[in-house]
Amino acid sequence: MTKQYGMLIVDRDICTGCRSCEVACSLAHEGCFWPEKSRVRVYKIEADGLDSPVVCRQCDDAPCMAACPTETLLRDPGTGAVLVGDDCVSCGACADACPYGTVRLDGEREKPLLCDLCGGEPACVQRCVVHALKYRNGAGQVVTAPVQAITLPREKLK
Amino acid sequence: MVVIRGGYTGKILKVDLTDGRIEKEELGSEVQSYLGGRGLNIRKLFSLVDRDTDPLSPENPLLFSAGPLAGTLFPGGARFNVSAKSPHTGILGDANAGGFFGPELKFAGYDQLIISGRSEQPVYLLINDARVEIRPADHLWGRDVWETNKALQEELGDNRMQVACIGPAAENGVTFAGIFANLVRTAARTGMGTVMGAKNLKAVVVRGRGCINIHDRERFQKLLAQIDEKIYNHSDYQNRAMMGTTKLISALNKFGCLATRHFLAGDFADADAVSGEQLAATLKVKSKACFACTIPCSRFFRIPSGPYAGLASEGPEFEGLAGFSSRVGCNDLGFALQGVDDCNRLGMDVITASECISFVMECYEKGLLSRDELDGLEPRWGDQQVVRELLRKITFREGIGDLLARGVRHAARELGRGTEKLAMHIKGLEVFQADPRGLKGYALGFALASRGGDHLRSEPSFEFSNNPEEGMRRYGAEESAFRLEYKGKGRLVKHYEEWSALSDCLSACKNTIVNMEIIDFEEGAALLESLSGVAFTGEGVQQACERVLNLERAFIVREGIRRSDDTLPERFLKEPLPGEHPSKGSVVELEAMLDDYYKARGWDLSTGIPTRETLSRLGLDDVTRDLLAAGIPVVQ
Repeated sequence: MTKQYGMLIVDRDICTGCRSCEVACSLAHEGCFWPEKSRVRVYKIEADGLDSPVVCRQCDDAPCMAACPTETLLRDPGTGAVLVGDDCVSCGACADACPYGTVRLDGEREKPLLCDLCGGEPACVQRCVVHALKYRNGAGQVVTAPVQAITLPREKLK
Repeated sequence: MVVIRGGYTGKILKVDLTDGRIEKEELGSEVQSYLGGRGLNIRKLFSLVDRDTDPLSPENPLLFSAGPLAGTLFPGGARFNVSAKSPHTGILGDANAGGFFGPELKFAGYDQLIISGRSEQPVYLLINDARVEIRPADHLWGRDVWETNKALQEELGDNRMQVACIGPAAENGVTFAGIFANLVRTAARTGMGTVMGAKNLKAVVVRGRGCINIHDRERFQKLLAQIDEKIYNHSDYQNRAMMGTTKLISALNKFGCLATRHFLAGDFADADAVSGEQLAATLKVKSKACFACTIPCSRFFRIPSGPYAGLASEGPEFEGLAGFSSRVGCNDLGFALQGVDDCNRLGMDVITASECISFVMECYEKGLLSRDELDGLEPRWGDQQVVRELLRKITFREGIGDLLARGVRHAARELGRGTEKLAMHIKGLEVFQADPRGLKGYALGFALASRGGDHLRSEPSFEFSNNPEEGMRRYGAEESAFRLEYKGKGRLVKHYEEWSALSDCLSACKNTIVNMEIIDFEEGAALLESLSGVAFTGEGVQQACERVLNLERAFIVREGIRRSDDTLPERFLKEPLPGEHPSKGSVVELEAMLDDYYKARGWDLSTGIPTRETLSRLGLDDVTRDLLAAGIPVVQ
């Protein structure tokens, strides 16, 4: 049996499209407000009200790892997230291999942007007040933002 | 020399559409005196135009600013401010919108964008980080806001491109055309879209891939944690997430202050049918939010059946929802949403548009306008087809639409026959959908607003608090805490004007900062320091806001505004509010409140002009000199 990894759970039907997750991710990883460098990306079609946060799926078979020529992508033993090691040559093979397009590589000397699940406390989840983003850890516990904004009256009746 | 280490990008982009010149400038010490956003805009605008500048000429600049909180993790740090001399009112033009455009401008590396001149041909401006291009837009001219947005994102192959564009109303010179970002996020008031149209500028498109730095991340995150706590524990948090400003339909109706049939009444019998509660319970699909906001007060809705089946959009705000329901006497929620959608696509301000239409309806009812003068239309209360036809006619300036295309002040002047008394504007700008007779502080704020009849310059919601002790503490009068009382309202409005300016200067949401009282001047200063590394104090920040208010006042004084212009439409001063509700029989007694306000501000009581002493205290001696040179009496 494969090990149970932590993963981000997305409910795009309730995503507000605010991109707080992108800003929080960039703050956690880059130390500034930099959505372009976020590991989470919200794809939007505004006219149809579609907002899709696209996140790393933490695939069991991790095609990104398999594609890495320097074998520098390794699993975090705690969360199972794929981490980028020191031998990365910025070749882009991981980004090409990702079936979900969640690995991005900006510029030739950049390292790939891979979600590391913030070591088990994803910053993006903490700011998602509608719980469109949740985190299920390796033990199966689901973590959400500290508040839930109730956005539809029918939810209140639940 | 001020060194900016974060929050701000530190750069101003200047584009001249006449000769195509593109320049970049450093931002400096003005951040301490004017903070950013609206403040930075008025500082520039004051010196770039004068009394003789024609708002539709190439000499009128169009300024976009995104302040220091835009693009940060501050909830609601999503806004941008647009300023120019207004073609609608002839005085200060200034409008503000949320969404994603403001932050994107910052990520592209700019705090402010100054557009001057006029292009010969239709163009759009593409800001792709440091690369800035003026591109042809002949293929976009004539297209509506939604079509333009779609065409540009497709053409540029990137729907993270943030588009701020105009619709046909602006192209045709309707003086109350807005600038639309994210389809529905509108810098709506005072005709900023019209100025853009006069420059032959169809859109500003921005894509920013850069970062906004933080000087002291630890301090910022600590402050943010306190802010989050306040927001999440706020008594109105869930209500706002559910309904946003649309909650005001039933809230104001309960007080008898919902603009109904052009302010002929303050209570709308069918309010429940068009309320925010009804919208949330029926047509709302999910909540929507501006950039990085944790109070998702907007919504996406879809109409499944009926005459407007298929209509789907983000929005609306209270202003549009009430504008196309109670104000025009219509009880159909679907129609109200359709009316707002028409304005969004055609590119018009919903407040002014709904005033124009309800004005015509009252004039028709009173026999002041005939069917012949209305191109055969019979605008009766609630007539949906007539409303839509009037919106179309205004946009394309056909017949009666041409008369209305410059707003109700102009229309009433042209018509005469007593219609002037029915034109619900202040300084040429139409008032929104709350009846000020039952809201004395709001009434004073309307009368004074530097861009004309407007609620967003002050919104003194404290007068709903019914908390006399706090009223005494804050404004020296227990009465200030009660909406029907007068005492203390001068100080109340002064404080809320500065608070609102704080929000507009930082480019963060007024619902968050002011209505929910999430940050004050001290906390604003702390946030600014943590982001920028520049020294700010609470007192200094409040004074910067006061400076902005005084400079805006000096701007409109230079255009001829005096105390006598700080007034309300006659109906609010003389006709007791009819109906059976808690505001029944109210009128507004303005003069004593004005005296209190001018005293609190340090303005001359007889003229409403800031005194020399006040301007000097705020470091605005250059403004005094400018006014004196224009022959304006600035007294000691």
